Amino acid sequence: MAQDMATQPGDPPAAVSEGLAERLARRAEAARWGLEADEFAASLRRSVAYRFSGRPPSSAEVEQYLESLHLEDLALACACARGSESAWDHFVTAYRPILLRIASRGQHSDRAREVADSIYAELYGLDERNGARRSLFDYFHGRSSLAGWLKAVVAQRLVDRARAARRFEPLPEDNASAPATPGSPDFELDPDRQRFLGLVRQALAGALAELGPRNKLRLSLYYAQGMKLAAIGRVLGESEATSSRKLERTRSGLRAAVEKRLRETDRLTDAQVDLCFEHARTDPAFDLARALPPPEGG
Amino acid sequence: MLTFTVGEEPVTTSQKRDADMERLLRAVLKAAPQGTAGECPDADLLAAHLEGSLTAVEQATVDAHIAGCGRCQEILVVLSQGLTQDDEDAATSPSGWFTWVNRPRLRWLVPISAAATLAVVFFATRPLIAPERKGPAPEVVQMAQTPTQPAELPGAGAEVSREQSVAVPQKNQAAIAPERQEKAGTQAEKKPPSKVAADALAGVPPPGERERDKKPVEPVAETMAARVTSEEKRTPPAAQAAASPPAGGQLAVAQQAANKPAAGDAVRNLEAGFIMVSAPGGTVLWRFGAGGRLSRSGDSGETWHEQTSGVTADLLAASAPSPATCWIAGAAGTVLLTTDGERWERRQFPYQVDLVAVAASNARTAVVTARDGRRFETLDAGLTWSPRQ
Repeated sequence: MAQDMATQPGDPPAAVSEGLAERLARRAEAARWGLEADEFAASLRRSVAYRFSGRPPSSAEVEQYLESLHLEDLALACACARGSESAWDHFVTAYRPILLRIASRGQHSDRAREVADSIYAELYGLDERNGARRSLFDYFHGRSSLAGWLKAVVAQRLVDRARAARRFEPLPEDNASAPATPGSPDFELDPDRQRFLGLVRQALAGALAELGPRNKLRLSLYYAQGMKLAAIGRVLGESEATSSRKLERTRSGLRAAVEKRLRETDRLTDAQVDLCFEHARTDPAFDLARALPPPEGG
Repeated sequence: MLTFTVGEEPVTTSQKRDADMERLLRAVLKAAPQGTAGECPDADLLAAHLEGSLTAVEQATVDAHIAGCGRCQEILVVLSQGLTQDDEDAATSPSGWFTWVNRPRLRWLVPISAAATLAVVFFATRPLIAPERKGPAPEVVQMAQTPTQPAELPGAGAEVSREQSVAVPQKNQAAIAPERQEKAGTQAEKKPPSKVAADALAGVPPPGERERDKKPVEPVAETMAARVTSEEKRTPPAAQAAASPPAGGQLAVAQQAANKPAAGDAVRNLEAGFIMVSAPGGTVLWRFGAGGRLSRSGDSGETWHEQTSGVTADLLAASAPSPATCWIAGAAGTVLLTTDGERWERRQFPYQVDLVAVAASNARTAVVTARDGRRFETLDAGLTWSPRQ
């Protein structure tokens, strides 16, 4: 995702007219933090460059984009990045509880407190590049609220730490997925079994590939991450009942697509389709890792 | 249709395949996305995605990435826990009273508080009224009971029962996934104390409250319209003019005109005043009223600047889920939406009915209530609407 990275100081500034920058600075109450108009304008330009990296936007696009930003939050972040004392006072008063609250809940509570504390150093900007202090605030572009951004930063840090720790955990011994051999007791005498398994894999992989991104995401959150429907609804901005209904619809659609392919493309009878499902269900090593295409860029 | 028997219940082929598909998906998807799929969205983009402020194209791009990225999915899991806490954040903010009331886990407090309030009113007024009334005792009792008659005066009890249902999504049991259907039967009866406490923390209402949850949901705005109407009936005009405008969680309604209209519906209220809505945080406010009048304040109501609504219809209700996002509903199917706090766009609504309430959770999702009680939901920022039970 090209727009994901914060714009570096050397990037060419995007066009933001002086009048627009001043108007937005007033709306953001940038003067409240002693922020100069040109400082705020620089942060607006950085945000535009971040959003439209790779192509020059029209002035209408720029204006529409800037108008949609959380300008007050952007001004606060900009002032904090420049070391404004009043801005920092406000930030600590208003946002420290959010950091601490994240730190005090969930299964990561032991690590979260440490992460939340360490983020202060990053927010202040202990890291120096080319002689300039680089604050974590510089990576906030106002697309989300400052509170939402902070939570996402903490969540990213927590997950990255957990994933890094998992790399050093010994792999569990797993003999269940070892393929059956003619000598083993699990060896399947049904000559069609492997063929049927392959057909189900292909059919299911094809059906999953056809899903829209949101349906696929809902499915992944439910089955891969084990999230509850209410939690899925919260992150996708829909009600629990809607999540449930759409999940059910997606699952039914997948089943229908798999059955259709098995019948029409692979020319299987109803009884053979039943066998396909049964083999797939009872096969301990059934997964689609082989059938699914690798993730983009991954 | 072929049938199988598991235990005593016959299982159809279709049900069996559904169950097989469930197991397959669990096995397949659990094994699949452990790695990362390309460059992950940064914190700003991820948070904007959760807040519903991305464009449709951006949202689809981020959805597609997360669907194939184990890291981002884990981040969403952590953030989803935080979203539960956000309800509490809003509750503790100065303007979050109504949101606080609507929190599922505290909803049970509302009827208790209402009953306590009525009891206090009853005992506080009885000694004062009784000496003045020299009639028989039953008259005293009758007067003290007057506030509890919802048919004449929608008092606290009536408001409470509506507010209880505001934040409760109607649970269509048929639509709930098998995971929930299986558990529903046994959980209610046999819960250890620890589970009950955990449910309370997670916002699961006690069994007795679930029946109430099934009642039709009424949005906050409608509740507030009723509240204002009843307040007008009880409060003298002078006291109303002196009263400061209430800070709103989802919606705060304030009659700020001295010549207050007679108690009636929201349209008549508009003739002399306006309705005000406060975004979370209380800094950003909108006020609106008859003829499509609309203005915004970014400093808690100190100063106001006019905005162009683009309509001349009476604007009757609003919901502002964030300082940049606000939905306004009005007469003749008027629905307005701003996602940047400044510019308003009219959303097409399929019916020419007066919309008297709106409850929105973000820029995409909103439920409006028509004057005749019908409710309609949009999940795509007002592009399409579907009836809601």
